[in-house]
Amino acid sequence: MATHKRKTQADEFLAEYNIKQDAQDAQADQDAQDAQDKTDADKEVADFVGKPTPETQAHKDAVKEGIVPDDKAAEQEQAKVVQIQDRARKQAANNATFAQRRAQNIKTATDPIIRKGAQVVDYVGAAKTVGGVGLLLVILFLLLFIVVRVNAAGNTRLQQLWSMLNGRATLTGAVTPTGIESNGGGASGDFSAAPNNPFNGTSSTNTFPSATLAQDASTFAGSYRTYTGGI
Amino acid sequence: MNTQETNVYMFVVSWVLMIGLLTLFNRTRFGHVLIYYSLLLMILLILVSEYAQLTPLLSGIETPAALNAQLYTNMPK
Repeated sequence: MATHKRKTQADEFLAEYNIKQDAQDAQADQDAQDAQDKTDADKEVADFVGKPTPETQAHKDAVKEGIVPDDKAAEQEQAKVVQIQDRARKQAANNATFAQRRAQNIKTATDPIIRKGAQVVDYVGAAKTVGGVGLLLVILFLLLFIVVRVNAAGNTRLQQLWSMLNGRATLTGAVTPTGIESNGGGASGDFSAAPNNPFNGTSSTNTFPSATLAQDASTFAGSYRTYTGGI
Repeated sequence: MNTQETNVYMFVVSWVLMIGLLTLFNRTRFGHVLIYYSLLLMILLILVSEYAQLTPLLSGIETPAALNAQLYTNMPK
């Protein structure tokens, strides 16, 4: 698996620090160039007035009057700047180290969890699926439609579907309930009595005598009931 | 659209959505295994809960043994 190194906070900090450091270096170079130019100009002035050496009184006077640059003060100033820069650099390095350490600690803490999670997913994904999902769906279908009985009469879903096909059963939602408000598609009402005779479409009441039903039990095989279960 | 039609509409959409999501999930290796073992668990639970319905399947195996036992008992010693 290809690894991609994430840019941490410490990396960003270091990048920013490097940019700042480059800018500072460029500024320092520019300052040094300016100082050199100034020195050259001062030398020209000194040459004009008589080339005083650092040891002579004339040089000291020239320094005092600002004609010649004070090298000692400049050196001290430069040393101060270097010291400040060093301190800032050390501080930045410390900060960067701290950020790196913090990022490393977070990485050390979270990596095993992520790795473990990936291992679990790989382990589960590698499990065998003999026969595939299709076979299990077929078995489930057979069990749910042939084995499981879903109503008080002990009918299976397949029997109920068959009853639906030959007109011996109807969906309760298809029968207009009398004296009952909209039932929202659920089963309601009195299902104790047999439904209307399907062979007598004009009657709105139960015209099928229960005695006949009992007599014809062998013909109807006891499945002359309203569909009350869910598929 | 009355309430009953809305219910039917929601019923159909829910089923289509569920089957679509399960199909997509089944295309991943992890999801395939998860669905497979969930179905297996469903089958096992149905077999356990509908044990009474399935006992007739076992009776065919038990009867010969019982008959043999009876025959053995009835055998002249």
